[in-house]
Amino acid sequence: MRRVPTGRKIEKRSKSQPAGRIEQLSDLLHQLDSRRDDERKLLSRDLHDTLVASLSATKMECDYLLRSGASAGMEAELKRRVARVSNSLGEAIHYTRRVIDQLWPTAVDHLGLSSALRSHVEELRSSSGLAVSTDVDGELGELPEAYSMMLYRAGVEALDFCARHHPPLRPDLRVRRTDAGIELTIESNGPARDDGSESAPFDVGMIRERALHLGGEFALGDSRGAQFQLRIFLPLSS
Amino acid sequence: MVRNASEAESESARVMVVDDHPASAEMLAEVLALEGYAVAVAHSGQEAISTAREFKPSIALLDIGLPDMTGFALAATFRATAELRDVRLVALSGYEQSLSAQRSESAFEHYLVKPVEIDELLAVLGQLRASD
Repeated sequence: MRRVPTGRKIEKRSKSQPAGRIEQLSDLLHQLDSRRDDERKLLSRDLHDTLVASLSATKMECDYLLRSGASAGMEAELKRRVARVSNSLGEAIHYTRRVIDQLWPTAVDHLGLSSALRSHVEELRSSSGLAVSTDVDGELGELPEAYSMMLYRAGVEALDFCARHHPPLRPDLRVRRTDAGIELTIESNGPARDDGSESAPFDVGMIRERALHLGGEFALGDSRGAQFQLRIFLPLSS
Repeated sequence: MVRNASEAESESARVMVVDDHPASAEMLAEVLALEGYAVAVAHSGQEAISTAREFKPSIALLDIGLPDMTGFALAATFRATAELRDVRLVALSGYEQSLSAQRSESAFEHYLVKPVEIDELLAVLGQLRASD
């Protein structure tokens, strides 16, 4: 049974209605978003395939130099400097990977949606101590790239919000695939936000637009924290 | 590409490196060759399958982010192919969390984060050879 956040209407764009001004603007926005995604993807792959790969190979050269027989004749000062170069390269690789992931989450390409989401959850657990429970179908099957990316980004935004919240929320993440489509829900019944803010928890505008443009449903529950709920449903044709 | 194995090398010392980045693959291959392994290199999943059939490695180091298929899909292909089924598989990835997320579901015996620490790599290979 599908759980729907209460107290909020489910937004859905009807395809049977004639395209009006809003739909035309939405199409234009989607085209721009899609073009920007293409560029980000290209840039992230370029960075990964060239800069990270070259930095990695160079770091390995340094490390091998330090451990191989060649270093036996090296002066201590030279060894120390090569070790420092190796460390700097390691930091540069780490930083570049973060930029790449922000541009385009390659984990989704490599692992698929469910593993990429679980991977992000693991990272949040270790970096922020976020207590999050997950119920993600291991086998989501083949999904259109736009679907995977949309749901991944929405999930990451919402989970990151839960981790940033004061006090931290304890969200439940669920991803389910049915014959009708795929549904992502993130719900939390944590304590109310202690700064009294009632603003949207994160930039939901683009996420909402993407979901509706894909013919899906979008519902955001109470955003003040006490009953944070996000549900996105994207239809899949059989 | 196959690097010549020294005559003294045993069957268990044949390692295939699969990485789409030439410099990374070459560097790994060079290190392994210097350590006495017979090494073959492939840069894509398809090339890895054909190279493995010829080279018959006992161990394969597979990058997860290959251009034509993921390392996980390639590992599954190895397991489903009679002549490649027994190759010991090690995953290489720049994404530590990605590897851990797949641990329970894949055919890999070991997971290494790139850039690979040479001591760690050699320890893993030694371990695999010892358990042959």
